[in-house]
Amino acid sequence: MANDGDDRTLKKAKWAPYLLSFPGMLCIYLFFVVPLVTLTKIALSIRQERGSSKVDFDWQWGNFSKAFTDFGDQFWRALLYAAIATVICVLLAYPLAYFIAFKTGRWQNLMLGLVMVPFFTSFLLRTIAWQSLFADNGPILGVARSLHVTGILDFLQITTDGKIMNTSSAVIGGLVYNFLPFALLPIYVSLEKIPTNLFDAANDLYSPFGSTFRRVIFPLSVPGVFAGTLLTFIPASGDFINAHLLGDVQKPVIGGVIQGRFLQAGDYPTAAAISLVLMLVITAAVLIYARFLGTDDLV
Amino acid sequence: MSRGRVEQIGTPSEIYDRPETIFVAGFIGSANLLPGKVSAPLKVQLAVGPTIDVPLLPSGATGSGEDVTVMLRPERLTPTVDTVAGRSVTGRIDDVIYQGSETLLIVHLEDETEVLVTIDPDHATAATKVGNQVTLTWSPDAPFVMPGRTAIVGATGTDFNEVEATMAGDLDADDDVEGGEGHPNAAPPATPEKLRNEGRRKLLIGSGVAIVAGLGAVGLSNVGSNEGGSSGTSSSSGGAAGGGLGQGDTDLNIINWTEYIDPTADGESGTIDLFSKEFNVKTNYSETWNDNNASYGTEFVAYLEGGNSTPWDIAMPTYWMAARIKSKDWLAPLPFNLIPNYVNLDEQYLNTEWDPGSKFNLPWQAGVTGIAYNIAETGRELTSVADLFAPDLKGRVGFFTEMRDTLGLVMLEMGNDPRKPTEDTINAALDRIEQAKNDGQIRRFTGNDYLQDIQNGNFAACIAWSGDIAQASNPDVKFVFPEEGAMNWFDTMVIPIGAPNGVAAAEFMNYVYDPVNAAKITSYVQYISPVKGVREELEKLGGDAAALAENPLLFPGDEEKARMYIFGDMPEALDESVTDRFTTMTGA
Repeated sequence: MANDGDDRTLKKAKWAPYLLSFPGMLCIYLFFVVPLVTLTKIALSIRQERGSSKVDFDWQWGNFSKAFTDFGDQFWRALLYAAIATVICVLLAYPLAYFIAFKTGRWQNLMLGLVMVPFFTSFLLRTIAWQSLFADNGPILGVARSLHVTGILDFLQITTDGKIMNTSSAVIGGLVYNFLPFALLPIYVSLEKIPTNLFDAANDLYSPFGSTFRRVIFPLSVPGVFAGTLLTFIPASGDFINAHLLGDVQKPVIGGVIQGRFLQAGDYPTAAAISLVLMLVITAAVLIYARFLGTDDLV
Repeated sequence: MSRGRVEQIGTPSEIYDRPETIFVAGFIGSANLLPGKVSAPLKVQLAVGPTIDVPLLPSGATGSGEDVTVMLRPERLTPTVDTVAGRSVTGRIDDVIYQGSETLLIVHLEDETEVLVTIDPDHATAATKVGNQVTLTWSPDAPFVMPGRTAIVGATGTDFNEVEATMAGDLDADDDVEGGEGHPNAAPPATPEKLRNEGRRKLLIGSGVAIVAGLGAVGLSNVGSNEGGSSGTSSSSGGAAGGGLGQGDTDLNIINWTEYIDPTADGESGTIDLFSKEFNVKTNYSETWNDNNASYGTEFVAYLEGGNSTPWDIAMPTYWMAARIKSKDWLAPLPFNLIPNYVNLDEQYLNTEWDPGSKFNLPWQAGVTGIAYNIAETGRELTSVADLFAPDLKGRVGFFTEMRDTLGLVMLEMGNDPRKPTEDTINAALDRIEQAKNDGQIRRFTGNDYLQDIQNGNFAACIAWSGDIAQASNPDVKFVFPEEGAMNWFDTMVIPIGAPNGVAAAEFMNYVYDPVNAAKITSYVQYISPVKGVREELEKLGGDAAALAENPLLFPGDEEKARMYIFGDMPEALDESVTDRFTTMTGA
């Protein structure tokens, strides 16, 4: 009889988590599951009318294959641009984050602020500003010309025929610039959490800096690198602004295709299908990457 | 709803002023329904005798002899002594009912058709006495014509004893009816207590009749209160002039492109502020119409496809987008009686193929699309569209993502007429553009951002809008009116259907078509004004404004005008496939 009370507690404990998670689950349902199902439904439909969400559901798997057959190039190009930009971002962000976390002392917050300040202006405006910097008669090529390194830049494929504007380099440059803080901040946070007495311990054991970094610091910062990579790669692969404003007209990316299908051509089913494919490709890429980096317990 | 079927879904003003069926006309408020036949275009021969002029025939009813029903609302009728040809009927006053804020006249026409007239009690004179002969007249836009012949001839909802008996028993049912039919369009139903007395009375009459027939109601509340407000003689300008447009205490909401009207700056009031002050209306001016296709989706489709009305009273889509919106029946007819200044408009932008008589759109600003080049980069003068394909400019040329501008210029270059686009001429132009793109001739497809590229030398030459180059700061950049001809475009002003404050919208249109006000806008936006007389007004202003009056890009001469082409209408299917191909090509 005394067990009755315990049973009730047990029962309560069983459904309490569900009840408590209900608001969150509802949000996920409303703002993730429902839109995803709707998107999938549109992706399998035929459009009735241009520019309208009125579509007829018809198991149109052709919309998905179109993503590869008609727009395959744009897909791989977007992923390639994003991958290159992500690698450059991490390579730039890591030393900077390291410097801010360990070497700036009381200026730390100011330095972080300086990283963030440019991002208080509009993304679009900053990208348009790069048009001037990359311009044929702009400052970047001006410096390159006065240093007589245009041939070397061409050879390194940073410039094409002495131009940087409207080339792949310009797009990657724009992506690196725009997404650098997304790589930097997670790396900074993971580095900043490393207790400084680990450095002292490494010193006491006569570990040279390279060894300390390789065996202590870097492994502890891997979660930050992982998060930074994702935060850079995912938005960069869907980005179309950089490709549109800085890119080569003959080398469009998938984000631009999705935008054009939705807003210009009013072709919702194809746009929805491409969006879903992009989502799946990114998810797959992220899972593979997680396995490779051995941080799958973090995802 | 009638017999479980939806008769009409619309805003209160649409339902009241433009009922789609006779049922709706009789159900919402009181209506006088007069049967007749179409006798000539815009003329209806009434069964009671006279032939009257009507502003509009129902779509599809063009044939002579077709049965129609003319609806005249009681408050739109004015008793007078003089007959007005085309808009009056005569009859005998059989009853005068004083109702406080208005007086109700029950008039029998020559064939004993009963007609209701409401007048301002102050206007009740000796003429409006029981037994007198009276002529009922109305303003030209008052009659509304519906297809088919009515079962109820004359006034609807007139048997007060019956109605009041119904009312007494069914007050509760009435409340249910009102709230029960949730329609996205209807404002939250006001409780009957909130309505003014006579409004309530009419409302109940309407609902009462409905209940007799066992029917439901659709969004009555606004109608009731509107009706209450419009007591007075029917010819008073405000109420009668609305012509199916919403009018009310709401703000005026305008959506336009950016930098497209003079702002209030340096202590000088801009057009919007001046208008708001003069007409005592709060104007919300939004510069968020960024892109025709995209804004069409967010500002029109998103609202109207779901049966809602847009928040906008005026939108400024480019002409071809206005045509597309009109083809969806999403534009309200413009009340020209409120826009007398339309006579100042340049005929060039009126009476288009897609809107004969410009009943649904009027021009806002116009412009020319031609060629711009940076002489420091080209090293030579350019004169034609063909120059854009010159080998020495390879990789230094910009084209527009604005399809009709780019296509039109290339069509002109190929000797085709963009005013009459065909599948063949369009595809030939698309092929040529695609070839140029693949050859690396075209560096980029741009929107407004081409200005930066041409000024900093990334482009040696590009397609350009005249107004931009007129304002450009780099003296090396020049605009050419191409030898082959230039594209001419215009942005329109349209009133979306169900606009909350269409009357203020019309007043705004009238305001900006005054040459003095139009000149003020032109001196800021520097596009071609569709208003005649702007040039003279600019000259009067002196200084910089007077210099604009001499600018051929703002005031093209006859020789240029003859070579300015507006891209013609395309059938929907062609438009769709061409837009698809062009969008893919530009990689937008």
